[in-house]
Amino acid sequence: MARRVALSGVGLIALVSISAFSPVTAASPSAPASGQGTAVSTPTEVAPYTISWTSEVPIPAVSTVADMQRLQAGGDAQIAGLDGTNANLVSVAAVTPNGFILQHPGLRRTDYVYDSDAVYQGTSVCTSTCQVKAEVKVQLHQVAIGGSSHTWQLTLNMSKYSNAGGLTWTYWGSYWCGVNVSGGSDTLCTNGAAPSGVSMTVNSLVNKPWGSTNGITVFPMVTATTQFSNGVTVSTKFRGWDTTSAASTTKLKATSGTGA
Amino acid sequence: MVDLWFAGVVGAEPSRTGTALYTQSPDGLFAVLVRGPSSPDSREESSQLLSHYGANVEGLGYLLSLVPVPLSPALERWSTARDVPAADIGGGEPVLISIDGAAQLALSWRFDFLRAYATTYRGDQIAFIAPAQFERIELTQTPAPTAPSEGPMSA
Repeated sequence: MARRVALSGVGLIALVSISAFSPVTAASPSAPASGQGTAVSTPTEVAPYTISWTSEVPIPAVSTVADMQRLQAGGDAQIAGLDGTNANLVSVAAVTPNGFILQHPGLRRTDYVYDSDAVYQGTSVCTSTCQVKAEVKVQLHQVAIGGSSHTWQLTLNMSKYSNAGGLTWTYWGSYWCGVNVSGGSDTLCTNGAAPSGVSMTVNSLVNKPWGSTNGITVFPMVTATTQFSNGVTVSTKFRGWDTTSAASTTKLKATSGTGA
Repeated sequence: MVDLWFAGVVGAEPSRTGTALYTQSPDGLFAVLVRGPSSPDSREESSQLLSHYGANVEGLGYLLSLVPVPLSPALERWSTARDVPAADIGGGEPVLISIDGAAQLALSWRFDFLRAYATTYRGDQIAFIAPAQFERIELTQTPAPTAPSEGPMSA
């Protein structure tokens, strides 16, 4: 069976026909967890293709396609292009299609400090095995200043984890502020809040006021995006910890909505 | 926004963690964080200035903890697991420092063998850390360290 596969290079995409290419089965909850059987082609039959991923754990420098499928099937990673169709120019979907989640879920250290767990964003080139080209580690640090302040101090940490492929990349963040409405749809913060849907500086302390309304529960949301020089773009959505907005006792709530 | 660095610190050129500059010199740890122009939140929360100063010290310590460099136990706790409102950093000791040759009022707090400072200068909020025994604080504008040749193109 002939199949058209997009090959990619830096700034180059070419369409070629490949015969007798049996692509890797697209990973899904119904896919074989082991990735055995029909999932893997012999190396000589498979043209290199690019995948992108966001993962709760670092991806080893070299993995089998079956290993990647297992990560996806187990919910530890979201992967684009694993069916051999190339991930280039395709963004990985958010961890959940509809929104922001507490990543893993992270750790509420104190009444004022929340740290998400780390998320790894990367791109690999696969044939019979997948080789990581570059991998970025991402984590959200949320601080409620506390007392009478109605402001978070946020730090979106994004740093190189590995770069075997010698890629370059750009990363950026975007910020939203939500009001947690019990039993209803959440709304965006108002009343002097920093605007939502705006870019947010990476690797810097960013102060974000949630507005002067008291008696509500608010939470920050941050999207972390990395665009690699091979054309792959990966985004991850972080939900911050629920915070009590009060006149003089603002702090993180004991428990938080997860966004899931 | 400009980078500021200590005059009279002998040793390595400062490195960057996030937007902060730091070095571990033979005399101890030095670090500076310039928070950029005062944002609307700081004007709206001018009555919370002490809270913001406390949070700025916390944030600088947090960026240093990512490197990591050795913080004093008290500063490490303040920077990574603060369990009181940021204003509870206390009133601070007012001290005169120098920025670009001009005298400047700052607040200072002792964290074991380190001392943290915060001030507002030309609209920028500034936090910095120096060894507690380092008494003559003079900050001057400094060129930013060069970017790496591989990895992030921007941050």
